[in-house]
Order: sequence, then structure tokens, then C-alpha cells
Amino acid sequence: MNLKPGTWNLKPLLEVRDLTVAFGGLKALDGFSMSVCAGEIHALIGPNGSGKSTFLNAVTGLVAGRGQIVFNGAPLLGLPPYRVFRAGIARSFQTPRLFPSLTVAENTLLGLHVECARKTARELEQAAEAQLARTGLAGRGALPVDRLTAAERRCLEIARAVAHSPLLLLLDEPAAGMSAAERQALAALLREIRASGTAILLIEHDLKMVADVADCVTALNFGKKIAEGAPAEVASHPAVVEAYLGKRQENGTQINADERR
Amino acid sequence: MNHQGTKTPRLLLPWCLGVLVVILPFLVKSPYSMHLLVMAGIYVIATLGLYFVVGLCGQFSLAQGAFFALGAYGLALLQQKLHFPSVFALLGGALLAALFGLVVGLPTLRLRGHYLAMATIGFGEIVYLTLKNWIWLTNGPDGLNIRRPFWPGSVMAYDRIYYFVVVAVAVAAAFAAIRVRRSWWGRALLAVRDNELAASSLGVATTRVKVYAFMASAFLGGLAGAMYAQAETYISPDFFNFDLSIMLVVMLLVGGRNSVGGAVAGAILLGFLPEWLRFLKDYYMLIFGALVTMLMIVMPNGLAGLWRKAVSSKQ
Repeated sequence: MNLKPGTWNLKPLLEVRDLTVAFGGLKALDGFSMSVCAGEIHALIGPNGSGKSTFLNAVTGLVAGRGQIVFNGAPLLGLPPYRVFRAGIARSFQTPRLFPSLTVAENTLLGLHVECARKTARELEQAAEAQLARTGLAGRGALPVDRLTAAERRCLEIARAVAHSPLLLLLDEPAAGMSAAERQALAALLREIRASGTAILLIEHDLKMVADVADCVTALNFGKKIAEGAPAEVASHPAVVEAYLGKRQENGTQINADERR
Repeated sequence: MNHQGTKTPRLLLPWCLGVLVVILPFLVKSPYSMHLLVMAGIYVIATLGLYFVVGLCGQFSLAQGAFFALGAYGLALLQQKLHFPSVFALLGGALLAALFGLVVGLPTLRLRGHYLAMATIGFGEIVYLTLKNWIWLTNGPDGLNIRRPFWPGSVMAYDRIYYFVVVAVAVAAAFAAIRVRRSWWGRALLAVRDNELAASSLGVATTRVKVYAFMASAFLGGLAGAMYAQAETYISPDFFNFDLSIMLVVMLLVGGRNSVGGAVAGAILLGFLPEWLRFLKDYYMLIFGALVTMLMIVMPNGLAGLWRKAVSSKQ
């Protein structure tokens, strides 16, 4: 199950080639290529504005792009978001997009929307309850969404996304704003999701978390791939260090490329 | 918390309302009041239709009056030109409205935002002007006479029986709306209203569920219009103007667009309000408008929101 880079004898689950997304004159993604294999947790890192979220949006059909995206043997580019989901890709958003009119359980049931025709209401409710238990939200089903903490909201968004057992789960900074303990619980959840047969593409700023859970890392800057490989390799790659920490100038001071670091 | 004190009135209230609805037509004396009762029931059906698109789907439709007209004229023309029996003409009128709902909804509901509101204003005007000017088909401003489905003697007796037909349909529509809210469809509609992007990223075919909601809304609007035609036995374009569409939306908003009970209460209240304000004569619209504006400021979630607040504060 746990495929390390270098053992890619399988065809990749998601294969992106020469993807370009332009907003007016700005190329948010510029000929970007990467692939995600079945059964791996693949991290996508890069400073703010490097094109990570745009990449997720292009894969899930929220923004248009040029290039090639093949998922599970079928072309994906140009499909509307709901068809992308039905092809087997679920996602979370950078700021959780929950449905405030619905309860926690109903939010999870939305993740089972495509199964509604085949299952009874009771089966669906049990399936939703199981997803809530899996993500540490057992017993919270009847609450309105706004009663959850920020970390619980992120977990609910994951519960909703994995309810239909997608082949690939795209997570946009799921650990943002979480405490150390919450991050650990999240890492355990991600490993459990990987073990259940769902590959994960994870956007994450916290390199410690990435080193902890990811099997493979792709680093992105200015819409282009700057490094790819095992977490430790990528973290020490000169181009990544430069992108995150800034360029060493002749007088020896550093310019911060990213204010948050 | 007094369990008995809160549980009993909640169970008692629907029964009292039910009994009131049944005995009311025998308490009123004049044919005019009887007619008002019938009209209130018809407004309830049309407003329940709007609940689907405005309440669940969060899209403003200002064409409910036009669907009302399509239902009424659909029934009249199916009876007169194609000699449909009354019941089939009634359903035919409602289905005709639903078909137009599909035609208007499909292109506009693909877009996010308030395009539906704009498109429906235009559609309402087109329907109104067509009814007025396509004299060969609609008899223009002179209107059409409608055959009654049955003839029990006096107008009062007819209205009294028809009242129960309307109430039965309204109750069925209310239960259908409640069921839809609890179904996968209602969930998907609310999800689309809350966050369309997130809903579509979970496999919800957002345009499809919105178009279905708009068609359901048009169907109930058309059904209400066809029943109006049968109750009134005469229709002319003037009744189906833009004011009717506005009135139906206001009924839903005053009642509370997030609840089926609110839609019913709003339609009944605003169905009778014009009669209670009749003594104001020329100032009627002024006071009516001010009253509705005030209601919306004081209770943004309508009568239903007020009711919920009252119940939760008692507990």
C-alpha cells in the first residue's frame, strides 16, 4: 500500500502534464507537471501565491487551464466539478466551506449525495455517523455547524469529502490553525485514510507535518515545479530553501520570501 | 423546564388549526368572505411553490404570477379548445407552467447569482403582454369564461365545496414541501444555497437540482392559477400582472422563507390583510407597504422566525 517514490511501477492515479492556468497576464501555473500514485500521501509545498490552490482548483474543474490531466485513465480537464467528484476526486478548501443551514450530520450526508438513489435513508445516516466517528466527531451530528471549533470544522470537511470513498483526496492546508495535538490527530487520520485505499494530495505549509506523513513531496514556486522527491530531500533542496527562506545576498543578510516564516 | 407545558400546546395547536380550517366555511355568511377563504388557500399553494426556489434554493423568482397565469390560461384553453375534462385540464395547466419553468430555468440557473430574478421579471412581462395581445388565443383583455367542474346550485355552495378542494391540495403541497426539505433533494438545495462551489465539489449537479426546484415552484404556481380559474370562473390578463408576483414573494418573506409553516402563515396573513386595511381607501398601498417593510425589519426571519423565538424562550 505504502508506495515510496522510486517504486512507481504502477501507472499513476493522477497525471498532470504541462498544466498552465493564466489569470489575465499572470500565469498562476506555468507548464506544471506532476503525478500522484495510488495509495500515497503526496505533499505539495510552496510559498504563498506559488499556485498550489490554483492547482487544486484546476484539477477539480473550478478554474479552466490548458494542458493535460489524466485521472484513473480518463481525461479530466474541462469536466465540471460534480463530474470530477463522481470520477473519484474529493477535496477540501483552504477555508472550510461547510453548509451553515445544515446540521453536522446533514453536512456529512452531502458527501454521500451521489449514493442517495441506491441507499435507504437509514443506511445513509449510519454511513454518515461512521464517518463522523472516524474523524473524531462522534455524537456531534445534531449540532449546527457554527457550534464546532475551527479544527472540528476542518475534520467535518474531511469527513464529508471521504464519505463516498474517493480514489484521491485533495486537502488544502487542513492543518492550518490547529494545535500540536490536533495536528497529530490529523496526521493519524490521514494515515488511516491512506490505509483505506484513498490516495491524498496534501497542500501544507508545515514542513514538520509534511515530513511526518508524506511519502513524496513536490515543491512549487511561481507556478513551476522546483523540486520533487522524498520529504527530507526536498526540504534540503537549495531551490526550496531559497523559495522559503529567501535568497542569500552578497552582504550576507537574508530577504524573507515569505513573511510567515 | 416544564415538559408538559411545552409539549401539550405544540400538539394541541395543529388540531385547533385543523378544526378551525374545517368549520370556518360554515361560519362565514357572505359569498364574498367565502371567496376570500378560497383565495387564501390558493395563495398558500402558490407561496409553497415559491418556498422551493426562494426558500430552499435561495434564488429569487419574480415570475410566480406568470406561472399562475399559465396555469389558469392552460386550464381554460385545454377545456375550450381541446375539450379536456376539468381534472385533466387542471393538471395540464400546472404541467404547462412547469414546462415553462424548465424553459426559463435551464439557461438562467446555469449562472450563479441573481440572474434568475432578472430573467423572471422579463418572463413575467412577456407572459402578461402575450395574454393581453394574442387575442385569437386568449381573447385579450376581455378574458375567458371557465366552466365549473361541478354545479351544486348557488355560488356560495360551490365556493364552499371548492374551498375544501383547495385546502386538500394546499395540505398535500405543504406535506410534500416538508418531505422534500428532509430528503436528499432538499439537503442538496440548501447546500447549493449555502455554498454552490462546495456542493458541486461533492458531486451535486447544481444546475439540475436548481432547475428541478424551479419546475416544482412553477408547477405549484400553475396549479394555484388553474384552481383560481376554476374558483373564479372567469380570468383576464389584468389579475396576472407584476404585482401578483411581488405579492407572492412578499407572502413568503413575511411568513419566513426558511419554513413551510412560514410560507403558509404568510400567504394567509397577506391574503386577508388587504381586506382588513380596506377602510384606508387611497392610503391603502402606502400603509400596506410600510407595514410589510416594518415586519421585515422587526422580524427578518418572518412569522416563522418569531414563532421559533417564542417557543425557545418559553423553554
